[in-house]
Amino acid sequence: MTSTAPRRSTRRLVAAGALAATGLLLTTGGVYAALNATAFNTTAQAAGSGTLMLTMNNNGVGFGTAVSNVAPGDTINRYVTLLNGGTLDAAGLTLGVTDATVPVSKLTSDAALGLRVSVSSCPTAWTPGSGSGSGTCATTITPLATNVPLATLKTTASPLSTSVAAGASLFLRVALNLPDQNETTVNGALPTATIQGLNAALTWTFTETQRAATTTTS
Amino acid sequence: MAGTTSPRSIAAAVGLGVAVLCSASPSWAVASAAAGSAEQPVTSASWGIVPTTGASAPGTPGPLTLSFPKPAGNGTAPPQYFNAINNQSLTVSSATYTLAQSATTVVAVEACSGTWNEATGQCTGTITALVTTTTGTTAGSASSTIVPAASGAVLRLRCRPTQASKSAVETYTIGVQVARGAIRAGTTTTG
Repeated sequence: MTSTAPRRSTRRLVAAGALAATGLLLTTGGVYAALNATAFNTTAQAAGSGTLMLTMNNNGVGFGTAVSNVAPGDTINRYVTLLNGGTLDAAGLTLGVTDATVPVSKLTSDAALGLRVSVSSCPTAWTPGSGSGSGTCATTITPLATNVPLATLKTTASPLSTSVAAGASLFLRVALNLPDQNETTVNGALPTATIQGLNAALTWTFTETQRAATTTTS
Repeated sequence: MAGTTSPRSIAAAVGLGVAVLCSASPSWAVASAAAGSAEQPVTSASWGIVPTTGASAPGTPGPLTLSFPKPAGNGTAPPQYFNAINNQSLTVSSATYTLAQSATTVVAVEACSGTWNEATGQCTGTITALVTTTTGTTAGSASSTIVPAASGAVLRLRCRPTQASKSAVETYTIGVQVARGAIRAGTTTTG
């Protein structure tokens, strides 16, 4: 029978191919298999960002009342309390001012003859009082800024303190002063470039920045 | 095609930019907090006295010029009355009165401690000369504490030639100067 030999050979060939394919699949699968392991904290780690908040309250009339009829040499004291109410310590407390008057008058544009401000702090709340004289501080008064022209303060905030602890209050006296100066009014007409009869509309702004960022281990 | 950008490359560029911004911000962002006041009005005071024939201060203040026609018979011209008004905001304690004239007639600016009777020229109190020109001069000035002190106050004065007129019409110009020293010293107040 000459016809059976090729048929048997074909079957063997098919069987061998199938066996080889199966072996190849098995060995290939072994290459891609991997083991994984993880570790994690079983209690979630709380993470919260700090807050920086500054609030200002008048002590007495504060900035809430107009200052009128200021003569050369006059000083008008006003008292405010600042609270660093956030959770972060602050650095770089400054005072700036803007004048909404248009056009701006000599009161806030003349550094020599215009208004100037001094700021002092008291460890405890001031007793502002009223009328003639200054308010009182029960302990020691610390000057924070002295005779800073508003003409300067409009463009460059004046540094008051390098640090303010979270939750701390600052008790401040803000003294507005018009430098004494000579002018003669002739026949009821105010002189040219006078300091008299001028207006300003002041907005005082205290600004603090966060303390320096830190790297800690705990 | 040259000159065109595929959407994928745009998206990649945007994504890269966002990633750069996110990673860069912690290095320079610093929190700050501010507290600002309500607008605080501030006004400065003023001082001055204006001479005027009116009952109230003129809108445009200036010196007062009075004309004295030569009376019939070459006599002395009758006095003229005018007001000195404190037209500014502060109380004044003194002033310098000035007097200039077109001729060299002796003339005086006078105040009455009481009330003037302008019809008769009488004063119910004491008459005080605030400024007087002397013979042969055309101007004079003098300081006095007789002033309309309070803001808005009016002081009645008179200008009186004391010599016969030398020309058909003589004019006298009266001025009032108020220096800083005539107002209060600086004060320290609270509130």
